[in-house]
Amino acid sequence: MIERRDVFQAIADPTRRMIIQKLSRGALNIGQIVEDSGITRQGIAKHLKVLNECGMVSLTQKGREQFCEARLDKLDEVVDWVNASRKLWNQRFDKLDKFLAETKKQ
Amino acid sequence: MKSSDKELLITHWFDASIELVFDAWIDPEKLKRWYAPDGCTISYKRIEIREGGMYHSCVHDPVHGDCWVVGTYLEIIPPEKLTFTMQLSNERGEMADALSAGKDSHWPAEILTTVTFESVGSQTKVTLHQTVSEAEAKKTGAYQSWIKMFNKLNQQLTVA
Repeated sequence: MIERRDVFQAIADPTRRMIIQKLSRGALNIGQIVEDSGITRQGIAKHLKVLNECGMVSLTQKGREQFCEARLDKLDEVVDWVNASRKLWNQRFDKLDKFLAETKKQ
Repeated sequence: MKSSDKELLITHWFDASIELVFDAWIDPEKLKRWYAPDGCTISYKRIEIREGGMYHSCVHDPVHGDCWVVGTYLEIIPPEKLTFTMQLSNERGEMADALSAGKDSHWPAEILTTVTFESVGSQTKVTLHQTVSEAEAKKTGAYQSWIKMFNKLNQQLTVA
């Protein structure tokens, strides 16, 4: 299967969620993300690459530093998916209600 | 970010015994009677209802055509709990990406659904929890915790 690059892939990993969390307060450079994270710079860079490919984080070069900014609006896609699933399951439960009522009559 | 629910958690009360309700989830003939969305039918090319068993189903939608899904039953604890995965697929059972399966691109690769059943008086309370379960997150045992992230993030955004 082709490697997925979307918001779901972005939030599927705990380290990437930690990075999104840190960036939710504003743009940071890699060094600031690494700080107190318990993860190596190399590890953070690897996850930032995935987040960038997923469209979840934008990276801009400012002089020698690379600044990372979270695109929090991307998370709305997850909310949309949750709402669509909720509708589907409510529909199923209504049908199961009817099915169980029929079964009991027999 | 929208303030609506970030997690799919649905509770439904059924007017039937826990055995009857649970049975409707693990008997393929019964599943066919209610599992397809409104106006659609469902058929199973393969369905092994046991822990580690696979299923390969097709929802026939008269408007949007067929939608194939594959998944695995991870936990079956009668009549209390059921856990299974769901992935978009095709007729051959290969993993498909969202677009070729007829869904828009904003669809997760793998979905994990946990259903718990609880007997309360003459009724049965069913709680359904659905989340994204990427293989990577599974390895670290951290799936479902993205919900926590959303909650924390929400708090931060409202405090800021």
